[in-house]
Amino acid sequence: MSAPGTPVLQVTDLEVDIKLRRSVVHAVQGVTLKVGEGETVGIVGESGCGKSTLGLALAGLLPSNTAVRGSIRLADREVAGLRERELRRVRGTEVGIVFQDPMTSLNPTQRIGVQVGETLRVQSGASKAEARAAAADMLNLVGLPRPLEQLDRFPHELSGGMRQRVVIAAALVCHPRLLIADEPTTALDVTTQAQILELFGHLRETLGMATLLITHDMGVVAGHADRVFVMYAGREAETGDTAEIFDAPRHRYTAALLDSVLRLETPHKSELATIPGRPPDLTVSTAGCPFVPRCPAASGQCSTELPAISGEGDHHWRCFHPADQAEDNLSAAEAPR
Amino acid sequence: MKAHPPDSAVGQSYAEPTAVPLMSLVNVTKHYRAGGVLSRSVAPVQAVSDVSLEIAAGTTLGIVGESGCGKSTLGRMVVGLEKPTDGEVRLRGAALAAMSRAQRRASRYDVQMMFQDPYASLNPRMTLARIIEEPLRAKGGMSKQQRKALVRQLAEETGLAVSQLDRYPRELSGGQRQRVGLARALATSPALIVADEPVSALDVSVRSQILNLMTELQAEHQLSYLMVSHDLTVIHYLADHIAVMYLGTIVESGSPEQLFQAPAHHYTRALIDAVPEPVPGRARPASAIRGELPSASAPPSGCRFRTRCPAATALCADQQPALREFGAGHRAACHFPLTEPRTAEVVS
Repeated sequence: MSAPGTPVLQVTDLEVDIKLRRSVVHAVQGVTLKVGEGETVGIVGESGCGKSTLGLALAGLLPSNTAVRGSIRLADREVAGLRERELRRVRGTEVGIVFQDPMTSLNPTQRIGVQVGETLRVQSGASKAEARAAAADMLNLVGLPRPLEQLDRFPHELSGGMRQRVVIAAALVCHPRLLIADEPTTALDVTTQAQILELFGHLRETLGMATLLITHDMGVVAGHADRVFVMYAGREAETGDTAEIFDAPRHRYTAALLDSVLRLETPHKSELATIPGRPPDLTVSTAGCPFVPRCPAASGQCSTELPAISGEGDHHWRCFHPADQAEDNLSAAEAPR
Repeated sequence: MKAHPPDSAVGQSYAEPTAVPLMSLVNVTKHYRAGGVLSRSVAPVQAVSDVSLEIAAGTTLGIVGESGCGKSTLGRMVVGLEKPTDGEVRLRGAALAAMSRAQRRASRYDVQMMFQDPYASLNPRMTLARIIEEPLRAKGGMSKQQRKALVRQLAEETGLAVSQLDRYPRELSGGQRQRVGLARALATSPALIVADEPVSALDVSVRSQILNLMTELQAEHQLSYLMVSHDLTVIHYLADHIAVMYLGTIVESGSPEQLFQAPAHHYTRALIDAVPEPVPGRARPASAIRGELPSASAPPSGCRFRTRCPAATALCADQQPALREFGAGHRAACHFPLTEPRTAEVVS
């Protein structure tokens, strides 16, 4: 599904270090990633794998105790290393951001119409009336009933699902080319989640923006991403077409993640596959593959040498012993120590 | 006339205690008075309305529904954290409200709770050993030595290293904290554990570990669970019997097979359709239900789901549908169900 021409987003060898008082967290370690026009890429991994830090880096929202190296090209413009003032311009016009909890993104003391139209006022100097009209259009587009009435309401007067629609409207009001959605439906109920995901699909068709969907939910990715980028310990573990990743995962981490997903077909009270242990401490640098302690296929080479990215076509993985496509995925079902 | 064979008499005397469910809710209603000083509204929030349920020993009852449906309130009433406005919560047939103080104290150790957020439900200033020991100290009747030995045993059973017992909650991962929550709940050897969204805050890999552990412990200790969750896959996996709640009422209940193979209520169907399945390209039915959950202080007349139901008619606004039988133990309250009811009769 990737579109021809220049990608909307091209990330090359991105590194993000977070400086703490006594240590440095290497949250993102050499990530290279491309998102084509109108394409949705799902970023998946357990918590602590660096996926949210990656999202913040791309949005230029990292706090001041972080160091970023590498290149982030947004629509052919380098944005890594831009100053706050220039970044602010990029946010909103080029990138829209939606976070998990709508209440933390919305100002509780400001009317919805003002908040949705604000970016337009700041970025393109629209008048109050213009911003208000655009906000009403946007609220209508994201499916808020009676948008004109909603303009003068406050966030607390809306339900969680409606608030998330408002956040999406605010993120998209300047028609950015890229939307970064970090766990956009995790705080929502299942039926609301289904509605919001349907909305993303609909907006993509209407506005044609590319989307980076950061989530821990494989079900959400399966239904809504064209490509999947699996992250482990701040690095790419595997990327590829969604169907390919789900049908024939090559990296052992991807396979293990998919195995441990609970499905409606999972037999009642049967023993579930798990991934023993937990993601590594990213303050410590390791020489080999970071998945070694939890990997069922690890060999001596794996703990001394980091596997390079290999692959076929658009499907890449970073593993010395990739799962065979025909082979049943190895599942480790031990309890953690 | 023949006399009854002796073993039937024996069977009957054995059958007697099992006939009384471990836990039962009888026409339970819970209203909250709305608002504080600043609120002008006076209509009470009808969190739970006329709910009857039973939990048999050694089984799991799953309650599923969206936020605001009253499932957590129900769980809190079962543990005794909330008192019903009307109706009865019974433990082994005895109403909690009618118990003497001593009886109620004893019953408290029989029903324990496990919370969703392992970060918020553990005292950050206590070591793990102390957290797990706390209910034992409250219960009394054990020496320090005995308590210590039991804490070690509980840690081992829940997959915690004994060496971790001197640590504090902040030093643990989410999964480990949930193990501590489980160890603490098990300390007083309860018959029933109320688990409110026990795995919702966890990563998939860790979620499987905790669910495996809960299944093992259930088999080992003949434990019952009241599992409250919005996640249908979790409920489907662990529950022996499922109740679907909507705005304080039970709209459908039955076995996992009955509910998932042949749901009778449109809300159950919509919940199943909304589960994001990890299968790329699978055609997803467009979500049939629209709109928002109505206010619990002014629920719709008749069937409470009618404002979002694709099959609602004028009848649904006029009359509240009664629960009807759709199979053995399978009940639903709908005027226009998706499958034919077994009997036209209304179940009381």
